[in-house]
Amino acid sequence: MSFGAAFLATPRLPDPAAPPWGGGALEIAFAGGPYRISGLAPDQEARARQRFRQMLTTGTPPAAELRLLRAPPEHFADIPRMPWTYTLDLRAGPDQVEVAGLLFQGLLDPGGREGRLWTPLAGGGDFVGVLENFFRILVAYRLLALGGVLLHSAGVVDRGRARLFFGPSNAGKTTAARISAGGGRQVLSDDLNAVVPDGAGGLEVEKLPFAGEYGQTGTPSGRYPLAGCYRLEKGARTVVSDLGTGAAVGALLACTPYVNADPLRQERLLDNLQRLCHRVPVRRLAFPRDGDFWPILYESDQE
Amino acid sequence: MPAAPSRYARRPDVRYRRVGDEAVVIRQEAAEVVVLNEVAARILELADAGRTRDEMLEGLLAEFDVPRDRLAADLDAFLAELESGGLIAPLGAP
Repeated sequence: MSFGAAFLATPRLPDPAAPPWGGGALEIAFAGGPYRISGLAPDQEARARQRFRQMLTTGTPPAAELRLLRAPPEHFADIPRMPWTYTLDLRAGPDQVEVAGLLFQGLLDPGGREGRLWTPLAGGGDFVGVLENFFRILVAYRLLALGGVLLHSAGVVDRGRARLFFGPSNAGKTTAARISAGGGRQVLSDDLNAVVPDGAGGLEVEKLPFAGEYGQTGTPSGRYPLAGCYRLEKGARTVVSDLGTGAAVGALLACTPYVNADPLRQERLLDNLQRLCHRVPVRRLAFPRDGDFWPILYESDQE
Repeated sequence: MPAAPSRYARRPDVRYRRVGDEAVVIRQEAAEVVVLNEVAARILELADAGRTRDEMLEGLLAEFDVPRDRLAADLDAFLAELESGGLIAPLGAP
């Protein structure tokens, strides 16, 4: 199937000279940002402000900008209603990355500094989903360019440091987050977390404003030193074991959405993941769904 | 049993990187990541370098302390596995 065929009525690019939806704008501060979202119509802006209200900022020059542009409804395939889940189409080029999804098409630079999002939605609940779907991809590229990574993971802060529990869907990220929260620990997200260099040779984890049971709650944001990453597995008892570096890089790679599907950026992604594996332990954590794995984690820290 | 093809090529959608003793292999079209151990990683490297099956065998014998018969059987089995896994494709007889 050709690029965008599931989402676009025609495979052509949107009109690059299309007007913005409006004059509204907002800035959101988190890893790789601040991110400015501009070209917003009043309802788009109101919904985006509500959605990202915990991370809104002003007065700092943006590091990246996402511009909203009008696109005619007939540009997109006729899809009767938003499904619960769907995939995106991504086509990578040397200078830009093209994305197509439900009721949007987007272009971004591989550095994640600039994105253009064409949509026919003037507002409404579906608009927020469209905005977030494209924004996540922009952030993934931004973090990659900065030497970091967007990791499909549960992020937990314990004793001032963050641990990331990663794995594919149903690996136990939400369960790990719930067990951790039950012990009084701060959960950053049970879905997506940002890993970024701290400028001094280490890595930090930062909460992102994206979906997940904990991603939209009022837990405080902030950056935390990364203490370790754990590839989750179901187990009858809690066991922490070593992964070889290759297996660790491979397991992480499988959990770096969007950019791991970009053949032109895989070398950079592998560079970033190898650095991560050299800086912090990346291990395997098998655990039962009803048990607290933290005591075993603490023991493994001493190994 | 049919003879193993003499020479192979890495499929165009396959990328790999050596990480220590292992190799991380990405199958782009299948959106799949595979990790190979040291010997398997070396076989993929040799296949990707255009070595024939016999050249691979001689190269591996020089690098690993394994009896020839066993290594030859392992090599053929693993080349077949790489091929069925979509990582390499036979180029045919030279």
